[in-house]
Amino acid sequence: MADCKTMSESLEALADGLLGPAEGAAVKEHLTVCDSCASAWQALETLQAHRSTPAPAPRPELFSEILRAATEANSIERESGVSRFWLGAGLGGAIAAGIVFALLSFSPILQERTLSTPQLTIALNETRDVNVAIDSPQDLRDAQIRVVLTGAVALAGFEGQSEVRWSTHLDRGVNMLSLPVTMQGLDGGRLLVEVDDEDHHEIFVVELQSSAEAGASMRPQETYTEGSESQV
Amino acid sequence: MEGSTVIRRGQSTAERFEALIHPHFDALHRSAYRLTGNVHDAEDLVQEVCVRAYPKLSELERLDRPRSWLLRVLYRIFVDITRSWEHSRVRPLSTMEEGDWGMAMASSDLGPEDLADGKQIEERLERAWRHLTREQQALLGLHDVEGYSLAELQDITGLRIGTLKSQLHRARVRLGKLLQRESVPVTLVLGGRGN
Repeated sequence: MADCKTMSESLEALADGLLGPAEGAAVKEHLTVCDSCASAWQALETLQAHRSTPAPAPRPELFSEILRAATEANSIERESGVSRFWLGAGLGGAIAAGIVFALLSFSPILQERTLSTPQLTIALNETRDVNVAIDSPQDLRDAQIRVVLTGAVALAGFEGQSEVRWSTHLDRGVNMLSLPVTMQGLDGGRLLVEVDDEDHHEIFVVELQSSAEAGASMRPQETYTEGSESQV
Repeated sequence: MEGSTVIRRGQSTAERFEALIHPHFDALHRSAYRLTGNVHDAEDLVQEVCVRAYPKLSELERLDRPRSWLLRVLYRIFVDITRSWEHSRVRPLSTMEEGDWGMAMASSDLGPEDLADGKQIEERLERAWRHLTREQQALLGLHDVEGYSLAELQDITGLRIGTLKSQLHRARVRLGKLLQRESVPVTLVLGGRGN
């Protein structure tokens, strides 16, 4: 009788046709009575089908681009002691996916700051990720993050809560904070993200409006940098 | 299979680095794509591996299997990007950007019917994949898709074989349940691969 503890390898062997008739029958019998292992089998089959889909080859120019980036990044790090890589990665990824991207900076490397409050429109009851990149000049072991929601703004998974707090570890460099935001009414509202540790305090505010039209798009993607504020 | 690196006298550091990375570049890119699910993030991930490898050039040149080192770094970066989330009360609905597995399927050489089925599966997998943890994505991507052995996975992740087996199983169970949650039902085929 097969059991779940040994099922990982058995399923692989079954998928690869490596089991004898008796062993195969035992595994198949187990799959008919065990939901978990049936799920694992379904995943394995799907992944093995996925394996046959070729991964795209790298762009011809990618290798030289990356070599140049590696050389330059190490040159920058030697000069400034600051890694900038994930700044670029976060920006690119966010824009490519059409996700709003904000930048909260603890770091002195970002000199250009604007105090404008970004405004976004999200369709009623639609959940969209609002990404906030927190750029930290050093590892912060116990940074406090507070998210405050006003008006019709809600955080998916935390419905009914107007404030969520937690402490977390921030790596040196840019850390992505993705907030799945839902508009639960047509009144609009605000999303406030506050990051605190002993030496730093940053607040970022986004104005959110809701639209009755399904699939309402957000404004063209922008990057905002916000300076420190002493209080909300 | 590890690519070989030839180091010539008089090469600059950049040239030595290029010679070291080149044999492994496609494998790194492919693995990064399997983990992230899209070309854009894969490129960023490979770039970060190279950024971190560059100052270790002399050390890497002495290794028999630099690809293992590069994959270890790739794995760690991929997992650590969202490490802070692991201890957070808030987790993103999606930790990856819109992927392009469905698009990759569309560019393959399959016939129209297989293409339609395959594309549907790829898109469903892509949606489910976003709800796995980074560790789960890494294990499934490297082992079940890229075909790295458990021994290789042990080297890459630093996890023991027994731990890997149980985590792989849990990741598959989770992915299977996520796939079932997607709108299109999947028929379980209780036979060998391709039956």
